[in-house]
Amino acid sequence: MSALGELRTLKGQQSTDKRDTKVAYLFLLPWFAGLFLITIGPMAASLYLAFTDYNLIQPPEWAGLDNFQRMLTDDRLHNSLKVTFLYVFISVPLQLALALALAVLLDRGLRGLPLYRSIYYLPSLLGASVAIAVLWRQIFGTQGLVNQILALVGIDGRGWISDPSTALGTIIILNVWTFGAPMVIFLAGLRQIPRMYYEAASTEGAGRWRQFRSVTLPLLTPIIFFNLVLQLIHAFQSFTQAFVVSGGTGGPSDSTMFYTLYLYQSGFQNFDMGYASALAWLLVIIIGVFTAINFYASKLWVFYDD
Amino acid sequence: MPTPSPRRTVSRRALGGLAAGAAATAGLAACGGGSAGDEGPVTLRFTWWGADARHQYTEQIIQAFNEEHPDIQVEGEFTEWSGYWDRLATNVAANDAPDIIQMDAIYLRSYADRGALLDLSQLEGLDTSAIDSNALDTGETGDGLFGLVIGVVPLGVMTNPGIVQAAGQQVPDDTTWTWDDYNALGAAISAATPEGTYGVANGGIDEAGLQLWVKQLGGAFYDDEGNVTLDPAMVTDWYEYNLGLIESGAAGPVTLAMERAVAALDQSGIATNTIAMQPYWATQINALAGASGQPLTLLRPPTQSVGGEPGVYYKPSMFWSASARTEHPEQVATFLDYLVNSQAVADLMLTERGIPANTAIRDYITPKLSETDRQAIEYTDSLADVVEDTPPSAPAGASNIEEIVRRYGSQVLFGELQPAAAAEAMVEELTNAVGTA
Repeated sequence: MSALGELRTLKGQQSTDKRDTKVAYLFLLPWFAGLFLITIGPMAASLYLAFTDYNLIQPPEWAGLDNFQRMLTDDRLHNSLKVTFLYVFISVPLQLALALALAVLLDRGLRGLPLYRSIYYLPSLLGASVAIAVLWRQIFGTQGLVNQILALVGIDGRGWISDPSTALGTIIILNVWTFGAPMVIFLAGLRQIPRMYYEAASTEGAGRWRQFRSVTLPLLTPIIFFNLVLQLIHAFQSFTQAFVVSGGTGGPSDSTMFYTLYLYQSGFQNFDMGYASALAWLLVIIIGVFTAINFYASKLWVFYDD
Repeated sequence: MPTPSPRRTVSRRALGGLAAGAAATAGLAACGGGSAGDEGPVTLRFTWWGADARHQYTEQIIQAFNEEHPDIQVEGEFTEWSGYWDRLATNVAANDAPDIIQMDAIYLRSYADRGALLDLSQLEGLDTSAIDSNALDTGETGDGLFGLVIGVVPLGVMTNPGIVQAAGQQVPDDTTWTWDDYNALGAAISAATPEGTYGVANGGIDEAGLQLWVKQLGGAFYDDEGNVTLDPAMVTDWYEYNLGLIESGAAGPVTLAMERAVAALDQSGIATNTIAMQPYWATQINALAGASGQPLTLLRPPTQSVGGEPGVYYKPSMFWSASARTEHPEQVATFLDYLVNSQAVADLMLTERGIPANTAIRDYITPKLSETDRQAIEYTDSLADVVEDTPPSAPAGASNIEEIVRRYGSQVLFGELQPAAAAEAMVEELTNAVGTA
């Protein structure tokens, strides 16, 4: 075949490519529509509103950097950051550790594994729901289940949710309890580790703990990283649990005032949508920074076996 | 927009926007007559918050109105309290406000001062002559009448005589008792009743309680211009008194109060018969007595000193407001007039939205009321000689006053803040919130 023929074939190829691309975009259209109408559009609007004074009823007024300046002296914001950071940096490691431990246990080829997997996954399906948060209020209330059990062993309980020193703890437990989603991902990751590594390790005389540390953990680091990124972002955005458990107040005395809850209160209860928009963008930046740190640090500890 | 009814196929459907104006006039002409001409009925959106019982009878009211006024089609939208304000705020922001809005005193000026509400005094066809004039004033701001008061309700000390007597005490004479008596009686009841039952509820975290306290001391949260005039010294005094209730044992642990502050009414101390006395809005006796299953009685609030003023006032329970952007003010007037003046409405509503501010309606329903409802009305009437002017309603920016009071109060009760420091900080936050609104 001549060079011309080849060129023709190539061109034909190209035009097929183009057609494929067009079809692909066509199929993506509903998604793009959603992206632009439901995500990008409102984000752009909120970016604008972040620089305005907007009370929802009257048109927004340009306010420059006022909203951001106000953040510097807003004690309640600083408190909500403290609460949120405490929540994120306690509950996420605990949750991942529990998920990993149970995944390793379940991976031992337990009988009835699918059943256990489903049972442990169940809280993740329910955990962010209003019903569970309401249940939590009952369990940790003054007359709740926890205190009834404590009373059996002679310990005087307290109002766990209504006491500022323990209220956040109950929500952290709620989040740790929803370890099912990362656990299922860990399980899948464990299945990917070739058995021959373990065989080799045991021939070399490595015990179970040594095998876990030297084979399982390093080969699982990409999965741990994935779960960490996901859960961290998720935890920063937590809202429902705190909202329902505290009855929408972030109380007692702001001890469960999550960042998102404060944002919501600013916008919808104080009619301060400009400030709330600015807060939303600060959250975007915070999550962005932590995710970036995560990715950067991952070079130091994540091991890709390829 | 006029929604063409399927029953009345309209040839002018295509006229769209033009028809809106025409329908409005047609609606006015047809008012009460039921002959809507060849126009489709005007649709009014009507929104309220509440619980199931309210939704049911309000739907019945709408149905009765729609049958009586074929030219107007009212459509109800409702949620519970907390979701209601989010939804209303977003609807108003999106220029999609309902035509008729159930409104609360703490939000009234937040909406009215920003131009979201219709001046009802300009509406023809809305008769407010039967409404108690003091009560009517509570819906006014400097710029007009933006809330049509539905009901009024005074604060009273909800008391369970059974618990008081079981503790070997007498129900006190409420015309002479003071806050010291309240504390002492509460402590005596706590001491003489089983573990977990207390004489009085914790105070210090409820806005209504602070309003009363400040009123008794001769102060006010706000002036008529909407400036914050709350005196931190009075707030400090209130905190100290309520810390004293815990100290004496009259009130129980703070955590219990915090739990109940966000729980449903039927989980409250009065409803569960674990508290003998707690201030409440008088009409709440209905729900509380129902949940408690025991007879309750209403006492006047204690005074600061013997012979002092109880500081009670008629709080507007809620208002009817209308959107400033409604396309059908005439029909809105017709519906509002029906809501406040119609006996058919009163038969269904009774005192569920407060003791009717319309005195004619109030007289009309009194014989039909249940025992507990009548108790509330009798209590309200018994205050006639001591009742004071209703304090100015919350200015724009103060719509989260309940949350502010609860937050600082809980910090005081938990010992995180000293009373004086908390009082200063609270007044400052409130002042800033109102100043920047």
